[in-house]
Amino acid sequence: MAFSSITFLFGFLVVFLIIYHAIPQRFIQARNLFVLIVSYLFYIWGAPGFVPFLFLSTVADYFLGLLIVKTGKKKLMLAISLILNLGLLGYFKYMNFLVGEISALLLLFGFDSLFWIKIALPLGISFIIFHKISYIIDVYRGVSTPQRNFFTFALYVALFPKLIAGPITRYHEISDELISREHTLGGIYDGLTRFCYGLGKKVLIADTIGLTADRIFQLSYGDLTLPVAWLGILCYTFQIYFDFAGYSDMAIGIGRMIGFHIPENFNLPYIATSIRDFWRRWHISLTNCLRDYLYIPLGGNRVSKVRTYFNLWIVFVLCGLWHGASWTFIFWGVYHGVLLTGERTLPERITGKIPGFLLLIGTFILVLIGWVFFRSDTILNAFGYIGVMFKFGTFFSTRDIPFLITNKGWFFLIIAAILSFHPYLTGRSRYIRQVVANSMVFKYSYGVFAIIILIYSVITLSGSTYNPFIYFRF
Amino acid sequence: MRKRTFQVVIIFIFLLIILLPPLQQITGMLPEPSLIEKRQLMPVPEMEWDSFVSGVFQRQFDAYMDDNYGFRNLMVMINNQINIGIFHVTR
Repeated sequence: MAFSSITFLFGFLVVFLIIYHAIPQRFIQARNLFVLIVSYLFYIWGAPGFVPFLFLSTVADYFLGLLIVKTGKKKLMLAISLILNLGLLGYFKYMNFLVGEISALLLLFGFDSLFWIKIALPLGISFIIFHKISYIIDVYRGVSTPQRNFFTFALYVALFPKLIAGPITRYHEISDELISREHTLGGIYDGLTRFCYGLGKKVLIADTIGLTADRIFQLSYGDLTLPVAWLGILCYTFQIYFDFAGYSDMAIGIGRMIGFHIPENFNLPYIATSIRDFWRRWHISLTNCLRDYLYIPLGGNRVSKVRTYFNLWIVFVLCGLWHGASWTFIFWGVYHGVLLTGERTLPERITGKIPGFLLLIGTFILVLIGWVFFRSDTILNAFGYIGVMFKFGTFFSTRDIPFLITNKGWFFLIIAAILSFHPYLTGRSRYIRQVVANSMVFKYSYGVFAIIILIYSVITLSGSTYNPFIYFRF
Repeated sequence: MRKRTFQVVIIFIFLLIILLPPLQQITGMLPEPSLIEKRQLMPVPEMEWDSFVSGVFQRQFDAYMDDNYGFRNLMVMINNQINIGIFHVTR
């Protein structure tokens, strides 16, 4: 169930919030049990066939977490859990791809292809698996004690705001709030305003400019011109950011309305002045997981330079693969790995002399080119598309643009750009920003504007068909 | 207005916005403008175990909600007015 669906907004959410807050605050266990039941209903609504996968794998990790502490065989229990979780991820997410590739190779050498019935992908599997791995590693490292109450642990795994598309909330980040949390008027207010802005990002911005991105990417790259290709990828660059950041805002907002602090996932990624900086701002919860559970255990940057580059490269290939079993995602990961290693080889005396806005533009263009691989169906199409982006002979061929983007599309594309780069547009003075942020007028207008966004989003939803979130694919 | 009072007002309006459409859908308390749509709107789906387990019921229920939530006709008309009047587009 998407947060921006009518069923969720005018059914699920309203009933959930009223019943949750009707349960007295002192009965936190009853509130937790209610959230757990609702979270399973939320999952059943989207993928009823995979509820046994969610439940049984939760049971397995509950016992493995306890056994890590109770038995002396910490490493064995950790290994079993990792094999189980990564095995499930590998089977459900990558077997179709692997069998398809092997079959293609066999056909190439004149053999018969493998017989294989395609497996359906459980909803949110990548996020569910990462949540459970984070729990097991936290317990193994002694960062958290194992959760003895099965229902509390099941709530951590299934907590519906972050269940199917994150932000990836590591166990130690909300373990205390699973047992006791504050419910304040300010928290509910912060949560609902955050939810409204997230809904607006998705429904008003991402879905509107996504129409143009879809129209352009449906065309063969042979039919494109330079301005059209740039318009298409620019729309997709903002669409994927506002779609996913909007979802994260809504998840954080719902969490806040029921007392949870789900971690932030984005921090103005397009004002990054290096690829390294970009990954500190984009899908932060995934970057943190990959850093703590993969990059650092591999040796991080405490090893030789060559090994550090190799580690970075491995992390980003797996990052690409995590997004999907396809050569385009793998290539996208390789591309970022190569950029990051390349960036590290540049001496600081050179990069330090380049003005900030040039670094910003350069980083933005490199990220934007990366999104071509992410959006394209095949690597060949991606290279064809990038080729057109630099086909300067078609520089002035703009006649198709009015058919591809409407006034409304232009309006929200400009809004998206302003919101993405606003620290550069409103002045970089921290003093001015603090004065504005602390002024009562700003605080009141923030709340009123959230309501206006909610109303306009709901009105817009009435005229649109259902648009699923991009990150539901992963 | 005090900060706390302001927050209560915003929370109340938020609840009102997400509560009124389902109330209207259930009770039909207020008259709504009619829309002439050249298609049959989705009726309430029947819930059966098989259709629930396969997810068919859920998809049908989503389609039913999309077609029948309270004040839908009013919102569709306002949306069309905004699109045509401000953006000069039909969608």
